[in-house]
Amino acid sequence: MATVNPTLIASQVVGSGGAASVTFSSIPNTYTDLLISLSTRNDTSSSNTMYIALNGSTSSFTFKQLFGDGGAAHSGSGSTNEIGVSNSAAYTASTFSNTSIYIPNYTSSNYKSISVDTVVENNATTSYALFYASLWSNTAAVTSVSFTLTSGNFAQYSTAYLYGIKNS
Amino acid sequence: MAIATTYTPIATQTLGSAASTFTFSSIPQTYTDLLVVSNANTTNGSDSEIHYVINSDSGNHYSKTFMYGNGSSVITFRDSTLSGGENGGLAVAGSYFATASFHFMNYSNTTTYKIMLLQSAAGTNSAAIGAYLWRGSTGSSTEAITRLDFTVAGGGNFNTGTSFTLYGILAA
Repeated sequence: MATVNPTLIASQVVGSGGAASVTFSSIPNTYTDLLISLSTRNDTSSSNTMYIALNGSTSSFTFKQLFGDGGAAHSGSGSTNEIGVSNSAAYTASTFSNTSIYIPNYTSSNYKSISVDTVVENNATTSYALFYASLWSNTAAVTSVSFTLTSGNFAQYSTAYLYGIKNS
Repeated sequence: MAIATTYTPIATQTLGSAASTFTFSSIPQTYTDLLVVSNANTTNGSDSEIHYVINSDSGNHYSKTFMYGNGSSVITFRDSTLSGGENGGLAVAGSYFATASFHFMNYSNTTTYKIMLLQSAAGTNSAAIGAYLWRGSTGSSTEAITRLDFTVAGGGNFNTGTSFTLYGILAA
């Protein structure tokens, strides 16, 4: 039978009242790569940084980032589990950020390399488009993925889709 | 809305021992785009760029516009006389495998030069994006892509466990 890619493994839509985190657990080990698609907005205006936890772990992460804000290009790095940005409540109403996260060979015993595209939109001079190269220096197979914010909750109608991709 | 089910695996290779080249030949002409996903480590002593050529053409028929961030600064450059796609992603020398995606647009048409969009993620080295152009085997021809070869730029081997997968993407 032909391989169907990507295969939707699970999805979540945040309901009224928001959610402090979004989690996919018991991820099957039957795929080659994972693809996660996020559309998110915060219920606070203080920050828009989003974080990832793999298997409940928020340690042993590093990243390099390349981003533009409409005025200049920048690069940054860190030793945190930062994984993208989410539209804050201060941004234009009814706009959500988009984030695409690719985790190849998520069941391997190698460290996990992560590629992230993320954009926020705001009807103002400054907005952001970012590309992250992230690394989780852990050899465990990925069995769960969680997302949180610096503070506050994911707003209602934020969505998260987890896909599996097979290479054969 | 769910993403359309369009990533059809055409071929995949994972190294059981170090090797210098990944080759995808006799690529079927039945898709709209091609996507190559690499997860690469090198036996070289330092992080090394991945080099690719199309249809075995190593003439000066490639160009690129490339931008990367190393954590402290952003560098961009342009070259229009390359003999293949250099800086096309990274094979890292450390304890992990860097990820890159190579998206070849409209690879099977015979009416346009071929564009490739690159995203390269090497968590201890850089985050990079690039746009590449191949002007055919004569420098002004528009043949379809039927073969892709990936090597470590400057020589050397990909390490055991390195994988390259070729997917076909249909527009409809």
